[in-house]
Amino acid sequence: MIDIRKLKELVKLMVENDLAELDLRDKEETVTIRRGGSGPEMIAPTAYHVPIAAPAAASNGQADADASGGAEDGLIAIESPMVGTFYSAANPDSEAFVSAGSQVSEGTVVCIVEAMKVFNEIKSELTGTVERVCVKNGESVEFGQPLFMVRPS
Amino acid sequence: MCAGSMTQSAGPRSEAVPVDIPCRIDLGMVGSTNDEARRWAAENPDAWAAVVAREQTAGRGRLGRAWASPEGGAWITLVCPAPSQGVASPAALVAGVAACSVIEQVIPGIPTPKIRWPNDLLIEGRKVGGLLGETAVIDRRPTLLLGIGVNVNNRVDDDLRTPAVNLAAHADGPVDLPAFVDALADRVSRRVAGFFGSGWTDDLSKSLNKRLADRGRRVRLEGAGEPIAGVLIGVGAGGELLLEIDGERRAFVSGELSCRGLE
Repeated sequence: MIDIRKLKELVKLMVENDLAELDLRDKEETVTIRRGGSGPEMIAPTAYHVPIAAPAAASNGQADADASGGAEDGLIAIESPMVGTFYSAANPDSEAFVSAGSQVSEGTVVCIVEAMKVFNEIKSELTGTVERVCVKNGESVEFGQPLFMVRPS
Repeated sequence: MCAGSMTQSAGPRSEAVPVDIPCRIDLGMVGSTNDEARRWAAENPDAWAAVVAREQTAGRGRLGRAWASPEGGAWITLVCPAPSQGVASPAALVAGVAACSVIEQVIPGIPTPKIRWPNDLLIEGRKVGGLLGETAVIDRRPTLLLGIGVNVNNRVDDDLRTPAVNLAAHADGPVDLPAFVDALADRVSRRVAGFFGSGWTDDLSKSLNKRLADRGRRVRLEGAGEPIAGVLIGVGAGGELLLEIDGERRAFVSGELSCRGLE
């Protein structure tokens, strides 16, 4: 079932951009939202994008693009609080804040999500071990998207 | 510390509005005002402040790029306790609009300052300043550290992307730097605090679109992957960039705009 917070965000986006209909599909769910009123002009659906990172030829062993997120086998997701671009390190020359196997505790900086040239540090709110990094460096992320799967300790 | 120079609301955090110029921390030569502000914010949670440097030796732009900031310019980081991390990015756009207003106020008759989405300040197509934000989560509460750099009286070098200019070139002599810094810190803090209380409004969209550089032009958005070309429509209700690409309107929250090779 779709997260009510995501639903609210979608409705807000529709109102803000004067969209009559929004149709979102992925492998797990389909959401179609229609708003009342029938203006003479249909405005193309608007979704948030970042410049698309070139597809990775193969997994680098750190990120798992197939990660579906959500609770699984006792894992807890650290989710993105916003739409933006995921950065695993403070700058291109630095090591990743965390990677699979890293121990994190409450307050550990795990990544940065950038939007409109504001770099938001994302901190863990739990203690445990990072089992999986769900996003590749430089990829776009959505609100509520799992970034890391953590096994609490 | 600068106790007494700042009055904070006793109400909810989103209503905390500086009623006087924020706590002012004046520094000489520093590495980066954002780094100094981060340290200050960690020791003074929930307090607004303006960290001002005479000169930065390691000012930075996007992705750690160097940002030249010699003596004579306005190098400030505003410390802005925020109601959520999600409002930090649009707050930086609000700050850009406010900075443009300050420039016009201090130098009457100056050509209209424009904003190249999301954070470059331009005068007649030349870069006069920029903003770079970071959020720090302190005691589980987000604080926006908003770095603002404006070329005032300092010498400028054209960078590779955009030719540069300083404010003095548009004034009848050197600009009163302390007065400009005061006005910038005060006006921008108030506008950001007001935005934290009100959220995004139609007026903000109008103000930003009015100042947006390159509207209606073909632009290229560069990011981590392949550049995307399209016609710049404006900003949407929330500050996102709207481009028309192959007849479809798309919204973006990241990337850098360029017009090179597209004229």
